[in-house]
Amino acid sequence: MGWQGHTQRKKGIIGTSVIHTARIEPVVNPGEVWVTDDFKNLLKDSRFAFDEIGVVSLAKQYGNGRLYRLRWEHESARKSFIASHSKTFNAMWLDSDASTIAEYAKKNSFFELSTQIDLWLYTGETFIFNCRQSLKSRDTALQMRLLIRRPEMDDKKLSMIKATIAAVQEIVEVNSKIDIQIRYYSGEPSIRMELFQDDTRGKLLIGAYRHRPMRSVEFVGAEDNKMIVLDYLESAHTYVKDIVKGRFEYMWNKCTPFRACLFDLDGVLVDSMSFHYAAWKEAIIRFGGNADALDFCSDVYSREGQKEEITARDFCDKYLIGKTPPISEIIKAKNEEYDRLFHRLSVFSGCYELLTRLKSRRILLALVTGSPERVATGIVNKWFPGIFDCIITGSDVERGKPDPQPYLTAASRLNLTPRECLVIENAPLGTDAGVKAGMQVVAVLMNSPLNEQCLMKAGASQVCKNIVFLNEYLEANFR
Amino acid sequence: MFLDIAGYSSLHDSHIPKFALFLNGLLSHRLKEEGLNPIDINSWGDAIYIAASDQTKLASFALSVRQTLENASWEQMGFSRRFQARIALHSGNAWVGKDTLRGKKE
Repeated sequence: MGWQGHTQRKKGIIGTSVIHTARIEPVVNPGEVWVTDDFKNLLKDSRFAFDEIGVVSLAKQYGNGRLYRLRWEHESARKSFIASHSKTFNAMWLDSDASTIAEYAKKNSFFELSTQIDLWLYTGETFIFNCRQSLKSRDTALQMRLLIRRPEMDDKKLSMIKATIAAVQEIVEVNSKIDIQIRYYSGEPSIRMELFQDDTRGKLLIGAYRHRPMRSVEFVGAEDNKMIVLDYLESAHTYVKDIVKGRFEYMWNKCTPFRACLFDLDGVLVDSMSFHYAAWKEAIIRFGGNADALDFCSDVYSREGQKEEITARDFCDKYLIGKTPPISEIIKAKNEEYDRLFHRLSVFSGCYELLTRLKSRRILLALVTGSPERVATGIVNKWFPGIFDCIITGSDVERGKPDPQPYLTAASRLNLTPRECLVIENAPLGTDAGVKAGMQVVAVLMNSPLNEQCLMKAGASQVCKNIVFLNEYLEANFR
Repeated sequence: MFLDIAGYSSLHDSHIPKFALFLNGLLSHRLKEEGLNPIDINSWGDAIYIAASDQTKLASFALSVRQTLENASWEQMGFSRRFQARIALHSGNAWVGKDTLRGKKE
């Protein structure tokens, strides 16, 4: 095999013209030959013809170039994207709550013509509701994937999603040709695609922009943060389709349904953080330290999940300066005080119901805490007997949170992969441990002094205000 | 000219040699048919690069490759999907020199 007969292989061709060509090829529509102005101007042969594509953003941010589609003169000119694909359109990838796209797709019968539709919507309701009737009466098969973002965000959103799901169920019940899959996610969308109508020029534009937290919106293929006006719809569509499609697939795959829920204990199920604070304070006072400076938020809450030995050592260095009590004695004193307060502990309202509901749906449940076995067992026996399939305490692992070992050990005992586990945490160290374990972490604030940003920064994909919102999130993700 | 095959990366590893044989055979045949004698030609899997001084022959070559791929009986060759090429053509000045890396191999 090969083409040795045609080559002078020891020669190499270099230069900006070579680079330029290489930057064009990735943006070419499959099945087409695109040429530059320079190539077109040199090609003086009546057998060839050109369709102007317009100014196109080249690959690797190389800039823009005016390009032409090369064809034989006897071939008919290729139509615009909408015209050429309207008969064979079989898939669309859309992300947006932009009703413009929904309306446009409806007007152009994209739904009727498509056999696969991926919808990456903020609510999902726009498309489902707009096309409910046509979906019910459709006589050809349709596969639809619906990726719904942040179902737990607020009551209004939740009610919209519930209505959408009800509409989906209604559709699939009356029309067996329609297959609709739904998944949920909580992350920020990184890419959005929108369609713009430019009335003054009578042209349609599709653009994509990248969402970056804490940064301004950046348009894909744009310079100076301004969107490039593309003369022809197809070139814009080609450019953004792969990006959006890729992102959709990534999110879809990432949203593998969870099979287990791994709960932290303190501050998530049990309202115990203030008692831990009081117990550490008492231990410091007992050894003659300055406990007044012990801060609930930065010292106790932020360390939640850490093994007691490490916390005690840190407090010794910080608040027992000049004293050298054995670390084991500090821990003993802290635990004695904690035990004295134990009868005042309570579980957060709704936790037990949440756990039993998950259990009834065959979701595996694990308790993963930095507390010693004695304390964890005491709480489980009192409030959650027979609930957990697996309990990992500080006594079971060598390295505590923020090391991923506690969560990985739980996943291993449940015989699951990290991606199949959802971690529920309240503290940055625990969140960090879950993320390092390769798991999705949902943080719950409850009565935490920490703010949402702190937990998001630690890697939580979602922060729920309280058990009600956590319940809604889990309801949606464990359907 | 730069050419690559859309969907090549989705090919199963066991199908790649068969695909490469077909693609190389097709390109070799088309080069001969069009009488195109490249200054340089190189490939990396599905990525093909050709430099030539005759843009008319190169344009004709590009369109004939596109057409052959479009008409190919992919299913009969054992592929479960069809493949299309993305082809880009540009004219401009370039530097020609000895490629010592590739040259040493020959």
